[in-house]
Amino acid sequence: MSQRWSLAELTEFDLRLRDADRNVIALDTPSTTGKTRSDLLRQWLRLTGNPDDKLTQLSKTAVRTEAWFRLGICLISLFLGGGAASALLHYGGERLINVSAYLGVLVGGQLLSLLVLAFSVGWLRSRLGVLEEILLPKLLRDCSSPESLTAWRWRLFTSFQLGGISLNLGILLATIWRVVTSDLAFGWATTLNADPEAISTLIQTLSAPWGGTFAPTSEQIAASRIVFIEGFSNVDTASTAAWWPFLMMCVGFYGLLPRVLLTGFGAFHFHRNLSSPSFSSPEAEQLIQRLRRPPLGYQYGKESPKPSSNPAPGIPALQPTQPMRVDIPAELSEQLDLDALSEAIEKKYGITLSKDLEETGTLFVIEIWQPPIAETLRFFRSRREQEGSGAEFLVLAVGTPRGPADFHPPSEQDLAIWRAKLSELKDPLLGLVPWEETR
Amino acid sequence: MSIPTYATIGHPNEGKSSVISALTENETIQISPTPGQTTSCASYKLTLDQEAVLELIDTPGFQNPSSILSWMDDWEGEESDLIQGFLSEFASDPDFHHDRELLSPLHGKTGILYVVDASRPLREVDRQEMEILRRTGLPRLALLNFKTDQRAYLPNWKEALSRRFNLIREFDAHEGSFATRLNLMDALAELTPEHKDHLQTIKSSLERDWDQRIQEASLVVETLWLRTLRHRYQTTLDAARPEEPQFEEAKESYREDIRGFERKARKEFCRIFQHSSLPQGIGKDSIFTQELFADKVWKVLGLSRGQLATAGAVTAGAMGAGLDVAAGGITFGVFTAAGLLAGGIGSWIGTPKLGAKKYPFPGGGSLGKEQIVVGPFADPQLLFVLLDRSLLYLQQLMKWSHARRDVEPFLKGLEERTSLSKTWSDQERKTLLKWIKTHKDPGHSTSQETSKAFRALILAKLRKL
Repeated sequence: MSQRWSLAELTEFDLRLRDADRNVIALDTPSTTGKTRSDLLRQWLRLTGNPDDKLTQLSKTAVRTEAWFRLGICLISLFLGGGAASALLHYGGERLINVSAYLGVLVGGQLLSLLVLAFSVGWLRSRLGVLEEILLPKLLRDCSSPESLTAWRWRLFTSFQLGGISLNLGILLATIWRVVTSDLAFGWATTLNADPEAISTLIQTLSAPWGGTFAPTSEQIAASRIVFIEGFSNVDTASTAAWWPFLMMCVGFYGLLPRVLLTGFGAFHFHRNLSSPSFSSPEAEQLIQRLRRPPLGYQYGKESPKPSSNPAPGIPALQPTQPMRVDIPAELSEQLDLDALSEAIEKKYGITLSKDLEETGTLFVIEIWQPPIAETLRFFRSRREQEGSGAEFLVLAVGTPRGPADFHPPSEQDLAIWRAKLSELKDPLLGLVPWEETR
Repeated sequence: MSIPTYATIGHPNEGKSSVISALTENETIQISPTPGQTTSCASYKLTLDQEAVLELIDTPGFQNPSSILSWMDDWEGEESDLIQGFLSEFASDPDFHHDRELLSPLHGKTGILYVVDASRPLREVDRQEMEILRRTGLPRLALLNFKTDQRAYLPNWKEALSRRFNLIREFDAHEGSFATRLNLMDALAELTPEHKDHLQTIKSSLERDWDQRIQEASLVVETLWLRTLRHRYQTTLDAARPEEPQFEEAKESYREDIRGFERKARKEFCRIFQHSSLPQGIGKDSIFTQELFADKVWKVLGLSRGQLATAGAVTAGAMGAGLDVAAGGITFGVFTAAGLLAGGIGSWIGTPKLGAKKYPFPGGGSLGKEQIVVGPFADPQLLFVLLDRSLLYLQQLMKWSHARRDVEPFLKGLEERTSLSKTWSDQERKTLLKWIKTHKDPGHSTSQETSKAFRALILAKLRKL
């Protein structure tokens, strides 16, 4: 069975998920098989955080703050209840304490608030955002779909109900205090032509839940009626003192008990939520998927050193001073009309081409889209050895053939590559001219 | 048992590193237009559950094919010792450093992936390389990479390769889609039948992994929607300054937050699909990379006016239905009809404008001071525009090869200027609208069901991309 989350942990989970999605992939997740979603996420939380971490501390602080808030509510409610009861039970001897005021304010008010709460749940839900705006930790409000939100809501609900309990305890304690330390006299009054029997029936109905005990008798009710015009002379002292147990039972049953039940209800939902958080938000779902995905990827061994960024020196566009032989690779010459090509070259570049093998200069027609390789350099070195240091070499850099005497012009990138490569030969009589569009 | 190993071999600058980069989804591999930059072998091991299951080796290009072939012609030893003989013979020749490196992995049962740029003419040097590789006696697969769109030379290549290679496959490293990579797995299985089952397992794992990535992407889309739907920008009103400019600043901050959500989602998409940074070429000059709140973007993407009117009517009608239910049914659906009508007309007349309002409630740590609040923005069009932009982005990202290093737009076969959600069915749009309705408040009781439907829909759309 999955371990229960604490509110601080769940809050930390929300904050960490919002802040640390990049950490997820860096996590070396242990085997995920057989783990529940809750266990898996808790493990992630433990691995990504530590007790001194800022987010861990923030979560703990948020929970601690709420605990102080709850204590504050309880204390304020206790004093409010006590104060209200004390005020209502003020008795100076000149007039009786009206039980209607005590019941109406301290019990009726609470019942009314519960009724309003029950009938306006929907309306309240839509306005919960405003309440959360003040009460929930700000960081949590910044999360789009916090998993801890439901738990926080139940926590706040429970805190308010605990406040209600404290209010009723305050009322009861103040009432007991006044009963014990003062000589209280209760009575009831009405302008209506009410029969004491009717009041008696009402009291019996109200006390029915606890078996009708602790309620004043019909005679005591009749004897404690206040008729101001008649004064207190006909009021029975024993009857005026018989009301307080009934009043306390009313506070206990209609005020305290519902709050205790609501506190239990809230606590039950709070704990149930922490026992099995839904983790249904897209962020949580995404995290679970990432953690459960079997690691699949490439490990890299040694890689090639990074290319040098130093530009290699170029070679000149040599203008030959004497007639040159033409050297064309056999596979290329098969596709060309060599006479037409010679004519085109002479026309384009003003180079005199000759078929005389005695000529010392050579024009190499090279498709430079083919990268220069070691063998290319070796070829030029070997030709230099053969033809001597005075022979002029000119590379006519062409693209792919597009006719019997025409080529596509080479790309600037290929030209740069060839210039750089040929410059490694350090041959002062080696030049390069690119094939140009017909001029 | 040794794992299947394949070495990419070829002439310099034919795209060997690009092929490796596309196959291994590694954009950090050095790919240079300058030939000869790969000077030594690099090994890439595919690991599944921390166990190496496949090895790819990137090698330098041939530098001396003619000389090597001549040497091989003169070799008098056993054919099986050919490579070892070459390595010993040229062990100390610096001119043959690259050739030694590229031939050194060719032993045992290493498969050869001979990479050629089939968009250029076939030359003698290529035939020499093919012959060298044939003589190794190892299983050989020719990968036809295309650096340009030129296909005129393809028959020549196929003819020459078919004589010396067991298999020939086209593999455009710059468009190395997932399907292409899977096809290559099939080709490797055909090339080395002894590894067929093993490669099939790897292929299944890759497919599963890809599908999980798509699922993850759909969750990122939902997160983007959720953040946008619920986002509220709040700031303290400065009583000493006029209100109007402060409202405008707050609205702009709200917009910037939404842009930030979109940027974050895109970064997530890139992480999911193994791109370490946002590829600059994706969506360059496209509607889905232009300013999010630009009028033009909102005209092209998202729902049409009619669809928006329906969306408004559905939402308002639902509210009317709530009133009918509250009245115990005695209103005979009058409120529902009125809601539908009002919502529809309202949405037809105009979309909601982003507004800022004063909010006297204390909050944001400024007790007692008035706040300016912008959002949540009620217009569903914002969500649909974001959805379209996300899907269009993903459409390109999922096909963006890791071998691409350029910033040029990549639009081949992709209709990137159309809104996708506009073309969806009414039922599909309804699914999205229901999601919007149930996710406005974080605690809605049916949000899990609508989330499920939302995810299934987006997943189905992403799988089709």
